[in-house]
Amino acid sequence: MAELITRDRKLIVKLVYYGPALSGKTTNLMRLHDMFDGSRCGEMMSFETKGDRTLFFDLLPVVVRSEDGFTVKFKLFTVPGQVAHDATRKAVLSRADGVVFVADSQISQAMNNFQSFDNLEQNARRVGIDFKKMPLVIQFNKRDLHDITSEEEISRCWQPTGLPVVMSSALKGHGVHRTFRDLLVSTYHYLDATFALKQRYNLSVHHFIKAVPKKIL
Amino acid sequence: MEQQEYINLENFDREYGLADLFPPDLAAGLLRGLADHMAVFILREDGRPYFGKPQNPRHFLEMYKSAGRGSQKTGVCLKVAGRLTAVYPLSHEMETIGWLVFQENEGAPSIDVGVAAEFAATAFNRVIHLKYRDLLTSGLHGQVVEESYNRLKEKARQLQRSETRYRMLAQNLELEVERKTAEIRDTQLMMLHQEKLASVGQLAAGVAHEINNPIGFIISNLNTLGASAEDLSSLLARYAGLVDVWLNLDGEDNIPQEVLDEIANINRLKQKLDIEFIVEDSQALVAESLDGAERIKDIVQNLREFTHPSVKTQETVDLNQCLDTTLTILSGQIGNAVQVKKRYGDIPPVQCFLREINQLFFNVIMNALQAVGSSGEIIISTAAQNNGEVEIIISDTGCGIREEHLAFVFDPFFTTREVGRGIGLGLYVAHNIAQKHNGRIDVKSAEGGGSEFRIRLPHV
Repeated sequence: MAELITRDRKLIVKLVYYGPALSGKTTNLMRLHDMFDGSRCGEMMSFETKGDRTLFFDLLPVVVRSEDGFTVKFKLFTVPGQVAHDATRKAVLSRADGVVFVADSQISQAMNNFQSFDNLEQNARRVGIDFKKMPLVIQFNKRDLHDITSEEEISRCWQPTGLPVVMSSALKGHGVHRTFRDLLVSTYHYLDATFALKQRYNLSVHHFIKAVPKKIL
Repeated sequence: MEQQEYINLENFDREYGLADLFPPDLAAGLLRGLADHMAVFILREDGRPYFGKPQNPRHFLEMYKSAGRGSQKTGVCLKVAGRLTAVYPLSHEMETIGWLVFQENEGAPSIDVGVAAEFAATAFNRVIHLKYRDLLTSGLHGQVVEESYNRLKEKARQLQRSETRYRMLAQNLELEVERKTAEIRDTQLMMLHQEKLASVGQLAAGVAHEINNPIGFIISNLNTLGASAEDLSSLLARYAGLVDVWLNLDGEDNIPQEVLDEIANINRLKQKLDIEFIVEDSQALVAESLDGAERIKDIVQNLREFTHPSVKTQETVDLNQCLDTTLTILSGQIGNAVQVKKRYGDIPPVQCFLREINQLFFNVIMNALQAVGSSGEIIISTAAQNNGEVEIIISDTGCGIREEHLAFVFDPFFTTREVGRGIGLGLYVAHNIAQKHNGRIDVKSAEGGGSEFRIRLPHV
């Protein structure tokens, strides 16, 4: 759950990019980092093994300030997708305020997507997150590749859930922006219900959306 | 840097402050070399001193905020009270978490504080970033290790529990198997015995029924035969009388020779057949046969009583009568020179399964008969006890039981008889029946000095 430091007029929001191995979680963060002009986001921190596989997590801090001087710091994390790192995944997921599930659109990865989503549900339960209420955006990445699950099939599968679904190609920067925006909107409404952000701190959804980079690749 | 560092197992993703990211020890170590050349301070984000003891710390912040900065530099460098002073922010995740202040010494400044501060601020911000990385990774790693350790511990606990369970199971298994085996063996024996009892009973009842009918008409016919023989005898006597009368009336001379010859023939035949004896004896024969037939009827009756079909229900029974019935059944086994003495007391009736109690007495008396062989004495006595029990003592003057065998006489399949004469179940069954009736049976014996079996059964 987000940390509200009333003394400093500051809200810390934790957002997590979850998904199967090699689905493009780190790429999402890298693209976001590229799109920021530098004053808004900090250094991106990565802990990778030699083969560019995430070992612990990636972390990209994004800060916005309201005209009243209220600070919202978003900490964007990725989890390591490899099955073996489940304990790390669980630790990174804990206290998340919003989650992007980055699925791999390739047909061959359908089973991995399913298993990872199941793992997300399980870990959310283990760390005490109400999975049904948790802000969640589904991103189908790698739309630039061939042999991918069709959009019709994806929407047939996901529309009934009512969750925002974004088609993306993180490598090319497509859809990354939109995914982040959708997540911020869901997360704002979720946190507003808990902290009365609008009423107490005059924070509106636009303040959250300010965190989205202006520049689009 | 001699400092103790702990891996913090709190949430690795919490907010970190100046004290976490640039601990005073670390700052002191890094700044030690500069202390001779200038005054060095670190202020907290709000201007309170963090490292060193500045006279007027707020002043530096005001100076920084009022000064316009050059586009390249993040800090400012101005003269304060005649001393060149550089103020640079220390930042973390795009937020200022403290201030680095370098102020040149009074008199002859030996170093350019502006250059030094810019260099130091860059370096320190890097240190802060690296420290942040260190805290994040070590914290996360600690959490992951802790969790894995706890999972392993839980798994070990579960394994230990199941191992204990299996070990106990294995230990008890042998005992359990032994116990069950004994139970099954005993049950089998009882079933075998009951089966035997049932089939013997059925057979005996069947035979008894079959014998009952012929013995009925044998007795009836014998009575008729006796009466007929008597009739024939009287008829024969009348004929003899007729001959005598005729001879007396007419005299032998007046009787035709042929008739006299025939009379002489008849007399000779009478003499030859010993008719007088036949007439006398026929009555005795019929009487004896009737007696024998009556005895057969008795035995059959006793046999039917002995194999009474009421196995499943208890009834109130006079044990003295049971003993008599049993003795009747065994009468054929009692040798000529064997004396059976009954010393029955006045005993109350006992609630029991009649057939089983008969079997109990049968087995013990049979045992006594076998012990005495062809000659000896068997004494059967009954008496009521004060404790609500009836005591039946069956003693014999037979061969006795060896001391080393005494402990086993009630065990199944224990026998001292030659092969084919006994399978060693008689006393075992007797023992089981006594137990089933909440009674008991024990034995006193000496080799060559006879045995005494004492049966105690509770009465109603």
